[in-house]
Amino acid sequence: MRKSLVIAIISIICILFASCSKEESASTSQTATAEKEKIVILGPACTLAEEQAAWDQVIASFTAETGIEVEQQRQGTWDDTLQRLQTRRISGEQVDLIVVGMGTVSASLAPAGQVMDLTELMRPLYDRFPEGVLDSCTLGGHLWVIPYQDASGTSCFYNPDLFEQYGLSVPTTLAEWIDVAEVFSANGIIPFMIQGGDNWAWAMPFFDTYGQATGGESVERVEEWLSGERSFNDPEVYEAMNALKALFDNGILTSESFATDEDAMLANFVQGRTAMIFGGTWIYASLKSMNPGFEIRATEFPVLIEGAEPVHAFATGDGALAIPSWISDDNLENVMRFVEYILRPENAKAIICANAGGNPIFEVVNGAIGESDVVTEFLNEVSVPHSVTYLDWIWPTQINDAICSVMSQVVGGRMSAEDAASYVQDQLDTLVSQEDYVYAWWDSWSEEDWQEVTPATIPDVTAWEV
Amino acid sequence: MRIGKRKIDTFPYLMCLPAIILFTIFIILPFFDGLYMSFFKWDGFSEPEFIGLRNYSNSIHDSLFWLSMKHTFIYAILVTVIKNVLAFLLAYILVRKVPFQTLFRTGIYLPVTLSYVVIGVLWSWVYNPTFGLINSFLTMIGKEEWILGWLSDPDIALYSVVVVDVWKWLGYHMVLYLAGMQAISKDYYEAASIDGANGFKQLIHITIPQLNSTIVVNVLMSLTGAFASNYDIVNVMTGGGPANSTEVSLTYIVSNAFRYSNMGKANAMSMILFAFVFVFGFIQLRIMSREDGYDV
Repeated sequence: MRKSLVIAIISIICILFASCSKEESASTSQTATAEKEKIVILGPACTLAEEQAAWDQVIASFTAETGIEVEQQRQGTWDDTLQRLQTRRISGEQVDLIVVGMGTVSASLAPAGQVMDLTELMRPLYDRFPEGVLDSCTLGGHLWVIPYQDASGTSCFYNPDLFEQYGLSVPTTLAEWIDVAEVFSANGIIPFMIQGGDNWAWAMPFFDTYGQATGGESVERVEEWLSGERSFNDPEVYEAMNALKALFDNGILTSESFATDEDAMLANFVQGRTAMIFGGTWIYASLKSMNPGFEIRATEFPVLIEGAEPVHAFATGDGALAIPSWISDDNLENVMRFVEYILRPENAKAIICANAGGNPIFEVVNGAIGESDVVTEFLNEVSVPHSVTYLDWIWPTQINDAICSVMSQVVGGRMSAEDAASYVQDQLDTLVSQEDYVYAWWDSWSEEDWQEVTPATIPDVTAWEV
Repeated sequence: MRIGKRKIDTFPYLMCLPAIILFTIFIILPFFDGLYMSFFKWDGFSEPEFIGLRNYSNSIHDSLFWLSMKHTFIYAILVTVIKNVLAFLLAYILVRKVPFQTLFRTGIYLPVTLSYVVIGVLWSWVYNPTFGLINSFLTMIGKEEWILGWLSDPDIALYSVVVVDVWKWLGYHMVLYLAGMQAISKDYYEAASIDGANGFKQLIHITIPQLNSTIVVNVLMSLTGAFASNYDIVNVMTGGGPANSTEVSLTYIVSNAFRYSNMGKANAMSMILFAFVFVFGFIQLRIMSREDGYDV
């Protein structure tokens, strides 16, 4: 009996060690593990089933045409992608293409030298993109990602039936908004909601009011601030913060918004409990799928600062594709062949339209546009011309978290704008002193650093073009 | 195996070997790897750079880290005290014959079987300001003035999360206390009754002393659990907000590791947290197990 048990225990230990070992010697370089005829895509799970179906269909036809297998490792959320990429990098697993937001690339992946510089690699395919689309995917004059999802921005959405029912016009200024809010509140309707339960969402309205306060120069101001040329303790910052506080003080923004996440905000809106909401334009697809018959209209975030013009955040590359800098040289040709294939108008249209619920706002890849509707027309014609890029693609994640953290406090009256700005400035100072943070990291890169992210050879993609 | 004249039976050691190997691979080695990495600057991708004690110095000078540690201690102490007091009282009630005893026991134990993510989402909706059960109930009974920003008020949010943790684990600790109470010989109570001791005196002089070892285990488990397993619930319910008011050390460590790509500092903070939990747990075990004469 004892002998059998001892044998069993030893066998279990051997199996354990065998299962923990690798078939081949471990290496952080992907060269050893990459399979030439297989591409691995890492990214978050598709939000809509239609998008996943579109990817599957395009990939199946690509494999049929080229014989190259494509493995999709799509799971989790956008926030998980960085962590999943780290574990694959450490374990030496194959990753050839990353579905990632430009925000993550600019904050983490590009400064760490983990994504390939696509400037020369993609040059033969630049004509697949409408003019100016690649601008927000460029940092320090180099292209790091290609946009492969609808463009996005900040916007207000309102319920036209409720406005009509109470004979109200959509507000464009703070004074008009106060009047509208009084009527809605008196009738038991929440006048306006943001998804304040999601901490990250508190920065978004600040993008718009800071844009108003700076006359559309918010990106330049932030770049100067991060470069140490100015302080965040600045009257324009106070003005932008206090403008949002005025929403709460005047009963436009109510306490409900502080604990309402995106799902709850959308549910409130489609049930007619709230007249107007603010968020990223990506919520439009979710709203339509939640209640297809529900009437939705978009409007600009009203001007809260006297004499200012409306300004919104808007950019392409919120959903984009990047290539790891540590990709196997042998597989780069296959990857570029796949990239060329999915950038063909019919394939790009299938995937990008499916992701946007049928109606992308903006044509990010030539041909990838569906039927426009009243909302997408408004966003294209009115909002886009008044837009600047997302500020959280410029400042580091720690700063974004700090701003989100203080914004709810300023709006709720628990912290002054001056104290909030000081707190954020302290966070930047700490980042500089403790983490050696440099804004224009690309300027300090050595030849060797650039070599790490530059492809050794540029495959001739024109050979595969149809 | 023989050492000198003494024969050592290797069989018991061999039986423990699989557990020791697993413990070494999944606990001991990662711990020392974490300790090692805490001396490096590492973003999770590039080559680690040795920076000595700088990560420790940065952590010590990080006010948000100490705020998260403060929240962790408040959370751990509150959860431990409330869970154990309530679980003890419930067990004390349910150890007797009461109507619907099985229903109550099952109902109280049920949340233990649910994951933190499920519970976090469920309670986020319970606390929701517009759809939530709590606010709807308070409105229904005409007590709107009692409505609070359960998850949005920085002064309240941490306590709202504590309530959920207590709710989840109450049944587990109640079952342990119940088992301990059922194991106490009825002879003690009969003898005490003959001597004229009332219910309260029996509780103080018989039940609690007899349950000492159960209390030690329960308190130690809930304390270390509250220190080391609060990430999921906080992350799902509040993400550390509003205004860092529910930021606990684990959420902050994970943010540093995977959001800020600062693995070295995250490891340094983990080591500091480990030191605190170790000392805290050791002192608690030492004090509470004194009467039973455990070797600590």
